[in-house]
Amino acid sequence: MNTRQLLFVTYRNEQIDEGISYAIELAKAMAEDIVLLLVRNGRKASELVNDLMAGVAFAEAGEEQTALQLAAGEDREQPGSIDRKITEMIVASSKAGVRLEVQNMERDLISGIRTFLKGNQSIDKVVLSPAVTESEALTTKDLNRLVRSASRPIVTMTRQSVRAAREARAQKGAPMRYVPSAGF
Amino acid sequence: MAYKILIADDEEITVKHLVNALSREGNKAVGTSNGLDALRKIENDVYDLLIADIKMPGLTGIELLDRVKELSPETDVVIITGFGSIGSAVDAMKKGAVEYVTKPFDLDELILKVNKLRERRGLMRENLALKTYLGMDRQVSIIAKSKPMREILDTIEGIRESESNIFFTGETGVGKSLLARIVHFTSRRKERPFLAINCATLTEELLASELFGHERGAFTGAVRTKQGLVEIADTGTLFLDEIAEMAPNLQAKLLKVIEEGEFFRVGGTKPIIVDVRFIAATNQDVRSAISRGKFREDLYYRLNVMEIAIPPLRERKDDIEPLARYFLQKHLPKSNKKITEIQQEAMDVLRSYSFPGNVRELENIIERAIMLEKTSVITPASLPQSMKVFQIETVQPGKIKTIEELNKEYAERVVEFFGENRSRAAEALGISRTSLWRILKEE
Repeated sequence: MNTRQLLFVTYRNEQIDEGISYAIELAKAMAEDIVLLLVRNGRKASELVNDLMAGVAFAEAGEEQTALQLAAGEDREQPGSIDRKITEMIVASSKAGVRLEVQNMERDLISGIRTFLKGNQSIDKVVLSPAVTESEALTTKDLNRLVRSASRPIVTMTRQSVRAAREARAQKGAPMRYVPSAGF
Repeated sequence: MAYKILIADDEEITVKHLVNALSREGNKAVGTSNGLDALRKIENDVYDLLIADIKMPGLTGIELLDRVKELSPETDVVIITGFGSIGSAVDAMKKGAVEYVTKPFDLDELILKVNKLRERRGLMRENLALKTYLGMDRQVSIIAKSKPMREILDTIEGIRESESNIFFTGETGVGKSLLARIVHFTSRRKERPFLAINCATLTEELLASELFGHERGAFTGAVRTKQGLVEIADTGTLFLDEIAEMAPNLQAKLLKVIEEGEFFRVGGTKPIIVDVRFIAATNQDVRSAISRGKFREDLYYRLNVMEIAIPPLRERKDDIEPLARYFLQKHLPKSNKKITEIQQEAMDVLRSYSFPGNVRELENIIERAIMLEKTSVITPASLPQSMKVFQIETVQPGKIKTIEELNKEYAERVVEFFGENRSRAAEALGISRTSLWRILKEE
């Protein structure tokens, strides 16, 4: 077990494993372990109603497990796929000689990360997955708040295509939501 | 480490008696009554000490001594001779025995001799470790093309005559321990020991024992007196990496060493006087740790006579190219490949990357690229895929705090001081409970 840990924050959804290979490479290079912090995605009201209605239908049909999964908002696309991906991430990490520990978080993204960091001094840096970096839920103000209070470097990951689109939009004069830069 | 003793004597009762007596003293003692069997044991295991009778079946003590000096020159040999055979004892000493005892011997006297040899062996081990360490780390060089790093080296050059303690801050992998070595090997203490320890890798008890040593019997397993790094580094430099992780008890003890130049070994009653220069380093925000009560402010100011903040690699991009070339040359010989250069396109990818793992990460990337590259130049294809798929940026904590943040930090400290009693904290701060709640809630 290494003394330092890297916190990889991502959403508990189908994109859960996006960016993990980078986190594993980085952790391996730095002889660190990984804490995978899974944030539950907030559902839109319409999605919540749909999920609950479907859940009720499954419950009435005696499919309690599926009903519970729908109510919890898990595995919307393919039941069990998230757990499978988590297992794959643990195996990939272990093959690279990096220990991966999974933590779940129910609270708001920023305050959740801050609370987690407060109690875990061994966390050396925070890596936000592409899904989190590009999420509408992470505003520039949020990121500023996190950077100020975290006392650790925050690593953001943006897909090159998304970045190019944003830059093109910015050149046309549209306001950019967030483009991180070194020495922020 | 247990002190291993082999006893070889033709009288089985003597062997049994000695094995029991020396084992009670904390040694790992085994015995045999046959010279050839003793030789077999030495061939199969490593012993610190052999106690051998001159007269034995199979192989005499002197013959055994000859073979031991060939097979295991590190093993000390004590020869037991019969009364009146001083000539054989002199012969044994000439052949390399360290001591001799004549039969009938006094057990207490023999134990005393064994203890002295054990102590000498311990000192030899420490001395060897020290020499190895010095030998390894004296070759220090640094690649510093960027302005911030050249300024840091100028600062270090400027303080080479100084004896002040130094505090390095900077992210993981920026090269804090390398710079600590440079400080030492350019200082007046360069001929003296330079020792380093990572305070985050050991438990509080182990770190205490490593730093301050312990007296024999101070705790279970403390079979002999051990010198700590503070004692061994006397007249030299001790580098304390990740100092912010040190437990409060140890911080107090370290403060005493810095302030008064003296300390006690764990379980010791005699003060030990030392002259050590301390260099400390951390990747954490120490001021925040102080405000949270996790790090002693007085220790911080004692260590931080001069603070040197090492910028992350992304803030000194001019160092990326020379460092990449240096790591290419460093790792190339192990690979059996004939790579001559790093392609400019690959260099551009490296320059545009933010290196959250700093120099350590760059070294890893180059080492990996050498393994993957099939041509004679490192191309972007052998760099990690994620560097090309994602734009990876590192955002570092700001150095200036807002008034709100300072207010909140102070309020948290006062609340902690009053044992989480917010009414008393609000009263002490001269604000209402509601205002305190608002400050603490501030994000």
